[in-house]
Amino acid sequence: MKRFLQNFTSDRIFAIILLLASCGAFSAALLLQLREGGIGAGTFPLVVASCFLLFALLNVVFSFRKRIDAPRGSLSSVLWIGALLLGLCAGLLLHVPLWVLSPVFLFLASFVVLKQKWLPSLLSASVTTGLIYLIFAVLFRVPLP
Amino acid sequence: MQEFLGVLQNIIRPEVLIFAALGTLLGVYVGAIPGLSGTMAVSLLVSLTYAWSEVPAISLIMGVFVGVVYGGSRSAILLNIPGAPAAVATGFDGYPLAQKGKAAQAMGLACIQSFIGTLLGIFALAFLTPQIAQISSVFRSVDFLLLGLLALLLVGSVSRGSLLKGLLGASIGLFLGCVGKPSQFSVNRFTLSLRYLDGGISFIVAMIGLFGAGEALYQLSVDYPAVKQEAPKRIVPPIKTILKHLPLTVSSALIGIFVGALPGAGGDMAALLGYDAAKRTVRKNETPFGEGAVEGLIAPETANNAAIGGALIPMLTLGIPGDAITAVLLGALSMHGVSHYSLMTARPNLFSLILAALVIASLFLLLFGLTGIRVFVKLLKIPKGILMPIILMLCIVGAYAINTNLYDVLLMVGFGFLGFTLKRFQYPVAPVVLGLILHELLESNAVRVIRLWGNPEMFSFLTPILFAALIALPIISRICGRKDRA
Repeated sequence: MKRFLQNFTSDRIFAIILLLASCGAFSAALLLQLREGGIGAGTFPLVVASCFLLFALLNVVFSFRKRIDAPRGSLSSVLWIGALLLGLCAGLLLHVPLWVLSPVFLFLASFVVLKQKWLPSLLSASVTTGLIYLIFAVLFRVPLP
Repeated sequence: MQEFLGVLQNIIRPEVLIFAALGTLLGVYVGAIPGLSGTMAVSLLVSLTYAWSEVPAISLIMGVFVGVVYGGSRSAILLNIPGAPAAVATGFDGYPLAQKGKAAQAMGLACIQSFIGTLLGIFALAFLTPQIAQISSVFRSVDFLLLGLLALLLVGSVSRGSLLKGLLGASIGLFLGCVGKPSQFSVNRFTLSLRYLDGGISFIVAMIGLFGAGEALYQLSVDYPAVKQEAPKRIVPPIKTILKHLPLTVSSALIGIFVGALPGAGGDMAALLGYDAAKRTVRKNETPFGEGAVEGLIAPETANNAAIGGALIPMLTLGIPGDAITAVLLGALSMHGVSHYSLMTARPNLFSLILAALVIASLFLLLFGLTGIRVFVKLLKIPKGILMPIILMLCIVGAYAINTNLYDVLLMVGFGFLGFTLKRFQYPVAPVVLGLILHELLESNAVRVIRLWGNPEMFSFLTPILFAALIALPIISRICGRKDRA
């Protein structure tokens, strides 16, 4: 069992995930084509999804046929926290204005996550926010959130 | 001769000079900011210049048009975030050059090539307009479909290492392009009942996410030391380098002019096809494509700027816009009381004004394009811990600015994670964007071709040529590739 599980390296798991995604895409396209019939809105997606499925299948086959790659190493906690902050920032934009979110995100990301000194972090957060407002809101009149 | 004199008269007019220069300066810097596209800048200027007389208004707009196409290359080279869709192909070799410490030289070369490309495009606009307009007007759906398939061959060029992974990426891009309501049918596809997705997925949002946020997240995951940039002795490339690549420059410009003249194709397609053609034809390049080959920078930068002249050809002769910017431009001209059709013959003065503004803009492109490069390069000296959050914030604001829609930001973040994952598992990201860009061209024309099948009028004299090119190109590339390896 342990030996069997050892075959499932991250590359191969990702190839399987892509295969599952392609199965989902294919079934959705097939359903659409069956509903629409003839040359319609489902034709092109079905052709594309078939290619997607075929390539994903071949990708899984090839990934299992080639030797196991050296492990990629675990992802650093910096990335996880950075990614979490990015997702949080994008999600919170629906409720919090950008002029509040932007300096907070920039400062937290630089000072807390990426361990920069507090003064450059603070300066970059405020200068970047100011420049974004100047260019987008003042100069180009983009109504920022 | 009279037209030539008209252009000369316009060139020496101070207002043309001032406003074309101002427009170029604006264009170069706006183009470098992800999310502020050329179309957006031109649309905004159209509303600002509504009350102006046509000479300053058109001069300013033409300057912006020339400036933004080059400006997009700066962020593509420095940060791998194309400032505009036309700069997607520039990043393929421009960014690796920056990673080798040659960002300033890359931007200098890009500027010179953009200048040459723009001039060749203007030349075509001035002297070959009737002929090119005639050829582009005979293009049928089947020709557009074949052109789209030709562009799809680019997957082979941008898939570093594994063609299968490239094809997989392109099929993901094409499938994502199917999301939303297609132009020919009134059915919502794969929208997961989200009304936001009815309009489809914007490839600019995808581009910012995949290239910009994806790259920033990837940089956070690896512990590379900061790349030390070479202190550039000279930013302007030696004349020897320019002359050495002159045949490539001319062929890329021809591709740019022709593709630009096709309605709906535009600078992004021109740059991609230019890059692909260079990769197939250039032999004995010092650095492989995708790893910082100067040829990979020269071809797209020449082609996308040459497409400016090309895109104006159908607009000025047939009243058909060549790309999104010329569509806005057409609206602007009508606001200034210019009728759509045959502008070239109906309003020769205006035609010479446009030519003059383009010539001046291209000259100022040299000035503004070659200055400020050292300041831009300093961006790369900012510590990663400060720069990456700024890039991520720019991606957020840039994605939002396109349609002022917060859901675009969420979509961009999703594409950012997809881009990061693909990059981590060594799948090329560019084919996904390529699929998204080509989807509309391929689907709409494929459906038309199927419907019209059997009708002899669906073919033009260009169909067999394009069909032969589609069959021959992969074979020639394979044979040449084998010879090179031998």
